[in-house]
This record gives sequence, structure tokens and C-alpha cells, in this order.
Amino acid sequence: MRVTSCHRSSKENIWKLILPLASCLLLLSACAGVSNKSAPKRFISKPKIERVEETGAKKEVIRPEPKPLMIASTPKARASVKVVEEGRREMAAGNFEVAEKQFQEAINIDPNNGIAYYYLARSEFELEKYEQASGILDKAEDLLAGSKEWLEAVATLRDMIKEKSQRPNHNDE
Amino acid sequence: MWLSPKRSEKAKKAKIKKIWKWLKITVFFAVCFTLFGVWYLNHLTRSIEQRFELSQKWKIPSKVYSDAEYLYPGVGLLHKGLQLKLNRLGYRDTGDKITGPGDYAFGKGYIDIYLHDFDYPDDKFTGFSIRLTLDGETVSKINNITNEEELSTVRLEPELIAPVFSDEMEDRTLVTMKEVPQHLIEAVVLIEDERYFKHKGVDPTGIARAAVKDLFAMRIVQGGSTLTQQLVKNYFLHSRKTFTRKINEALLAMILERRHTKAEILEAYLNEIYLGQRGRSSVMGVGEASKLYFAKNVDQLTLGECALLAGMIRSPSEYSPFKHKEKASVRRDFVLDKMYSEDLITARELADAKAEAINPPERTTQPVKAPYFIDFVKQQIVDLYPADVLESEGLKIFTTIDMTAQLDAESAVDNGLKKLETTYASILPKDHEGPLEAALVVIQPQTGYIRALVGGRDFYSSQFNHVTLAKRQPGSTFKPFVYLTAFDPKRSKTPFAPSTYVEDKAFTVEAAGKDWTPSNYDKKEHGRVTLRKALEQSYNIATAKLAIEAGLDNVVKTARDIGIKSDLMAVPSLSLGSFEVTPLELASAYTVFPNGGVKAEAISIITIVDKDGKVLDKRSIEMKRVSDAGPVYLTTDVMKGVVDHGTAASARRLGFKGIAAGKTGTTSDYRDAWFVGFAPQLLALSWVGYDDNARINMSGARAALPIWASFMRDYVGNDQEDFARPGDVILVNIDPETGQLATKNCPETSFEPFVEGSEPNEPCALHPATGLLKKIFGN
Repeated sequence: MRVTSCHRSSKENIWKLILPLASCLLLLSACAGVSNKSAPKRFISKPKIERVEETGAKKEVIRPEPKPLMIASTPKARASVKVVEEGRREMAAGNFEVAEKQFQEAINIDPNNGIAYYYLARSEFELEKYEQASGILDKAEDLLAGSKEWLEAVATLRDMIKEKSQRPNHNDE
Repeated sequence: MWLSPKRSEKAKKAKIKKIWKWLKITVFFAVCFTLFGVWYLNHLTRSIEQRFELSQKWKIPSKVYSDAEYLYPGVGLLHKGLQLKLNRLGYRDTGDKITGPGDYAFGKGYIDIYLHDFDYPDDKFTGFSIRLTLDGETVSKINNITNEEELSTVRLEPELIAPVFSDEMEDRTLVTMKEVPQHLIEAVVLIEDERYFKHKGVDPTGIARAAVKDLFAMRIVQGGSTLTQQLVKNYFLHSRKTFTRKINEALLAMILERRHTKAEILEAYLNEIYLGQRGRSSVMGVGEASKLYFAKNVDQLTLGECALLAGMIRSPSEYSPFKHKEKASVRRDFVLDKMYSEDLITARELADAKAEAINPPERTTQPVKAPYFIDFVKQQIVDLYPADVLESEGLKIFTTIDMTAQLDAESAVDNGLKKLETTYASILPKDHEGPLEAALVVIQPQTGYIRALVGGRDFYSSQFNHVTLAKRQPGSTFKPFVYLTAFDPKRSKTPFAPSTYVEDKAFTVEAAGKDWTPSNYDKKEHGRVTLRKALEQSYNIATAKLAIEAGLDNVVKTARDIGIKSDLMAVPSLSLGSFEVTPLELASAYTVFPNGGVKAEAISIITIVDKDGKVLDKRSIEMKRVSDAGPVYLTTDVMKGVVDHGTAASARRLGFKGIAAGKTGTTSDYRDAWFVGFAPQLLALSWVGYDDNARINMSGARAALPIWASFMRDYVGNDQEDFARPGDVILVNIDPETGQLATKNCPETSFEPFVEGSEPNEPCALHPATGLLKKIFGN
């Protein structure tokens, strides 16, 4: 009884060994197949190649990765976001000049903080510096391209700037 | 002998007459003397009042500050050189614990800093103690030590770059009696003029006592001058010891005491007294001296520091804590003992104050840093604030400069020039009259902030600022503007891409009635080359041809749009940088590349405030889109190749490993060597040449690039952040030989960037794809 059971268990053990080994081999061969396909030399990580067929010719295209809005993704960005928050508080209290300074500092800390540019443009708008506001929005638009909501906000502010700056006798610098 | 009564009467009359005459003369002189005395006293009073009543008694030098620096969790400290920065800011290393403002201590895994107070424009910051918890060389957490609150950012105050002095070179921070600690007032009065509150300006008792002491000692051991007399001597009179001066001093002291309170006089004294030297400038008053010797404001001084400062008045150099710690300690203890004996302090206070370590901050011997930058700042505001205003009104000018970048830039220029002169001594002209010059300017592209500016080799030999004033031919550094035009379908006559082929083959074109034939740096022709290769290797012939094909007027327009203001003409040589520009103009124009086509105007001044903190002038960031992002990205992408394997590839051998793009420049006959290069967050331009336009016989890669690479290596490090690809730029797989779409049969393929819509649509004609049916049955 004892021997039989031992025999049975040794059979089971062999299968237990063979099955994972086989699956490992399969996996390795699959991996080897992938690595044989040479990735474009210019990239370290594998980019997504889009194959388009136009006018009978096949075109392999790599589009830019959609830029997600990277809010506070790095320490620098997190620090910058905090300064933007302070600036927004100042803006809400009507202290536009202080807010303007805060947003400039937020950009100084993280020049890729698109939201800081947006609010800087906003404070320039409130301070009636329409030309400056419009220029800063150009940069905000670039950096906020990954967010539909922010692009809408940029467009609305742009319309407001346009409307105000078309009025005669505005105090633009 | 008897005189007749008549004669005696006559003699009597004559005598009376004589006496009367003398009396008249005496009265006359007495009246004159009194009148003169009254007039003179009036004159002295008026002259005292004219100066003393002025709201501004002293010329306060204006001060130019750097930009503030932020610390936040995640920031690397080794790279930032935090300790050096703290030393420059006048903080002092107090070993393992901090006790008061201006102290810092490096512990195991943390750094404690007691931040200074600082008056920012529109914001008075009150210092507090913070702990930076470290993870290796990186800050992992910042806490307020007092309430343990976790902080997201901490601002280190701006560094003083330079005061703007008058001829007197006096540095002073005004203080009011309210700010001065009671202990300091008591110590000063006790040690300098014990009977200050008892006398009326001159103290006969004090003089007598001093005279007796001096007589016994047979030398001058004690002066009899009161505080008021000392103030009068320093403030109104010259320091030569003459009898008239002594009389005037006494008179003026008495007048001053009659017209002003003791507190007013003491406040003036505490602001006026000489307390040492900082380089060439005199440190005047207890406010400035507190900063110099103790790294803090006067109201933050400890009892021991008050005693030492009071004791130093007699001889600031002899008791200087920088030079003579021992003597300073003895003098401090002497003052403390005297305070104790007068019951001004308790025994406990005495013991604690004596136990205080004398630990001054690191001494800053160079009062003027970044001299070319300071000069540039002054030039910009000269109309609003001329020299006399800057020298006396105590303005604070906050600028964009980053002192860590500035010091790295200064060192890169200094070492770079020395190295060139030793390594290439045989190439440089022999016995050239002027020295080899260099310039380096660093700009943050997104804001236009000038972060560092080195305008020449040595400001004290030549004040000519090569960054802002030198007009030089840019040579090949102009070429990217040609490529930017060509890659932009809205600007170029015909659109081009980096993979487009052009013939690098000699040609002649007529310009302004003359034949013009461009030639390459290596005097060779390279035949059919891609635009990528033409820019990477800086081929002149191919570039000139491209400029003509893209349209010379269009190239001029591009250059104008991105900020080149100097004269430009639409002639073929324009493409090779034949029109002079200033380095600042060129660097500023280049900022559109790392900034995705948006141009931020270069600025150096952020805010100017008066001595009371009122904002007088403010400059804000100004930017606008001047080019589409797509063509800008294509040009940048090609310029990355210049650094990685083109004419600037030696940057990698020089130790700079970060992602960067740039362009070398060498003008005809090797008169100017340039390099303009940038990482996504920073741009720097370096130039080397002679002032008289003599040949340096070196290319941009050999002379200017090492200076740039050295700066970038030290300041930017190995940052691997890449340039962001705009949404309308796609990478298309092409056959590099034909520039057409790659097929399965192309032996070599590569993904090249195109502005969407301008990419090739035809399959490679040289290696057409062969379908299965074609393979089997043939054509």
C-alpha cells in the first residue's frame, strides 16, 4: 500500500515537472520569435507602428503618444502644482498681481506645467495685459494638448481676450 | 615836577580818551566775536539740521539679487551644490544642531536649516527652521521643525549678487531702535560711553577721568569722546585730528543734543558706526555687521553676539571673529563681565553667553559677482534709475540669474580659455595684442529668463560685454534658421524634410552683381546628401542651395520672426551666417527650438523695489508663437544629430551625456568660434574670438564647444528628458536611399519625422514590393 502510493506519487511528480517545463519552452520560443523582429533602431521602447495603405502603397507610421495631462507626476511638477494652488487662492481673492507672481514661480519650478501657463494667462487677462495673455496661452495650448477640458478652457479664455482686446481704449501694455 | 592844572587836566582827558578808545575797540571786537559766534553756531546748526533732518541720512547702495531657488521633495542636492549655496547666502555651519536664524547643520540622513527672514516684493517672509530628510542625495521630505508640518516647497532667498556703491563704498542696512535688541544698546552705551544718558553731548567728567587714566598709563588707554562726539566726527567731519576739528566736534555734539533726543542720536550712531570691511567696501552700522559676522538680522542677535558686536566698535579688525576668534572671545567676555557688574544681566545669562561658540559664516571675499550681468542690468534701467539713484536710494533689484549656473558658467569660461591657450598655443597667433576672449549666455527657454551671463574674460581688464554688445558673424550657427524655413510648408517655396536629398556640389550664383561660390569647410564636395546629413556635418554648399530653393526672403522672414533684429539681406551668403548679430540675439532666437516654436522674450530684471519695499517696476514673462511646432521639432531633431554624431560629437567625449541639440559655427578665416546648444529646459551659447577680429585658427567645435560642454556637464548633468514631439509630427518608415516609403525589399529602412501631410506617399522605386503572384508568375 505504501509502495503503491509511492509509485503513484512519483508518476504524478514527473507530470508535474514535464508540464511546466514544456510551457516554459513554448514561452521561450515565442519570445525568441518576437525578438527576431527587429525594432526600429531609434527607439528603446517598442513604439506602436500603424500600417496605412494609401494609393496602393503601404505606409508604416508612428504617431506621437497621446500626451496625458501629467499633473504632479514628478517631484518638480508636484511642487509647481502647489504653487499654482497658492496662486489660485490669491486670484480668487482678487489679488491678481500676487497671483501673477505665483504662476510665474510655478512655471519657474516646472516649465512644463501647462496649467500654470493657463492661469498666468488668466491673471494677465485680469490685469488687462491682453497681448501677454494671448502669447502665454500659445504655450499653455501646447502643454495642455492632452486634455479636451483644458483645451476648451484655453479656447474660452482666448475668445474672452479677443473680445476685450477688440474694444477700443483697453489698457493693454 | 609840577604840572600845571591845565596840563594835568589835558593828560587826564587823553587817558580817558585812550581808555575809551580801547573800550570801544574791545566792545567792537566783543560784538563782532559774539556776532560771529552766533553766526557760526547758526551755521553749524543749519548744517547739522540740513543733513540730520533729512529723511535719508545715508547713501544706501542699491542691491542686485539673483532669482530665488526652490527646494522640494525629489530634488537632488549634490547637483544643486546646496552647501555652497548656503555659504554664499551667509548661513553658517553649526555642526550637528541649529539654534537660531542663519544656522545649518548636516546630520546623518538629514539637513537642518534655520531660514533667514527676507523681504520679497509684496511678501515679507519670516524665517523658521526646516528639516530636509534625505534619501541618498535626494530630498525625500521637508518638515517645519517647530510644528512638524510637512512642506511641499521651500524657497531659499535670492542671493545678493552685488551692491551698487557710491565712491564711499559704504555698505549699510538701516535699523530702527525698535529692531535693535536691548542688550546691544546697553552693551554699546556701557562700553563706549557709560555716562551717555547723563551728559549733554560733551562730558567733562569723562574727559577728566580719561585724562587721569591716560596720565597714569603714560599712553592713551581711554578716549574722552562721547557717543555723540563719535557720531559727529564720523558723520559730519573729517577724521584728521586738528584743534579746530575738536572744537567743532564739541560744538556740534552739544547742538545735536539740544535739538534731538538721546534715542534719535543713538539710532543714528548705531547706523553710522564703522564695523569692518567686506572686500573693498566698508561695513557700516550694526544692521549690516550682524549679517556679516552672524548671518542674521540685528533683532535676532543673542546676548553673546550683542556683546561681541559692541566690543568690536573700538577696533573691528582686531576683534574680528573671522580673523581673531580668540581675541574676539576675550573682548566679548570683557563686555559681558562689565554688563554683569552693572546688573544688566544675570549670572545665568552671563554663563550662557560666554558659552556661545563664536562661529561666523563663511566669508565672502568677492563682493561683486557676475559683473557683466550687473552692468547689463544697470544699462537697462539707466534712464529710470541713473547711477546716483542706484548708489544712494537703496533699491532692491530682483533678477533672473541663477547663481549656481552663473558660477558654473564663469568657471567654464575661465578654464576653457586657459585650456585653449595651453593646448593650442601653436595655432593661436603669436604675440597678439589683446587676450583671447570668450562669452557664455544661458537662457531658460520657457520663460526667457537669463540664468547666467559671462560677457568676457575679465571684467576688470575689459568691461566690453561680448554677450550683449559684440556684433559678430554667426557663421554656421545661422543655418538652423534656413532648415526651419525649408521644413515649414507655410514658409518654404517647396516643402522639405530631413530625409530630402540635396546636391552638395559646387555652384555659382550671382549676388549683388558679383559671382558667389560657396565652399565647404573641408574644401570637398559631398554629392547627394540628405538635409539631415547636410546640417549634421554643416555642409555649406548644400545649405546655400537649400536656402535659395526655400527662398532667401523666406529665410529672412523666419529669422525676423524668431527675433533676429540686426540687419539681414536676402542674399545667398545669408544662409552661411554672413550678417552680424549679438550672441544674446542669437541665443534668444534659438530658444524657439526647445520651446516648440513659442518665443519667450529674454529678460534679466523681474522686479525693482524701493528701500521700503514698494514695487517700482515689474517685468513679466512675455511670449508668443512665432513658428509652427512641427518644423521646429524637425530642425531640433536634426540638431540632436549634430551633438550625437555630427560636428559637435566631441561634446560626448568631453563628458556631457544628457540629451541635447545644437549647432557649431566657425566664421570665414576662423575669426569666430561658436556653439549654441540646448536641452529641453536650458539653452547655452558660447563664443570665442578676438576683439580686433584677428584669426583664432580654431573651429567652433574645437574652441567654443568645450566651454559649452563643460557648463552643461556641470549644471544640467545627464538629464535624459527628450524634446516633446508635437501632435502633427509623424515618423514614417522610409528607404533612406530614395526617401520614399519603405518596402519589404528595402535593404535598409529608417523612421524619419515629417509634418503630417508632407510625408512621402510613393513606395520605394528602387526596391519595389513584390507580391506573391508576381513572384510566381513574373510580370
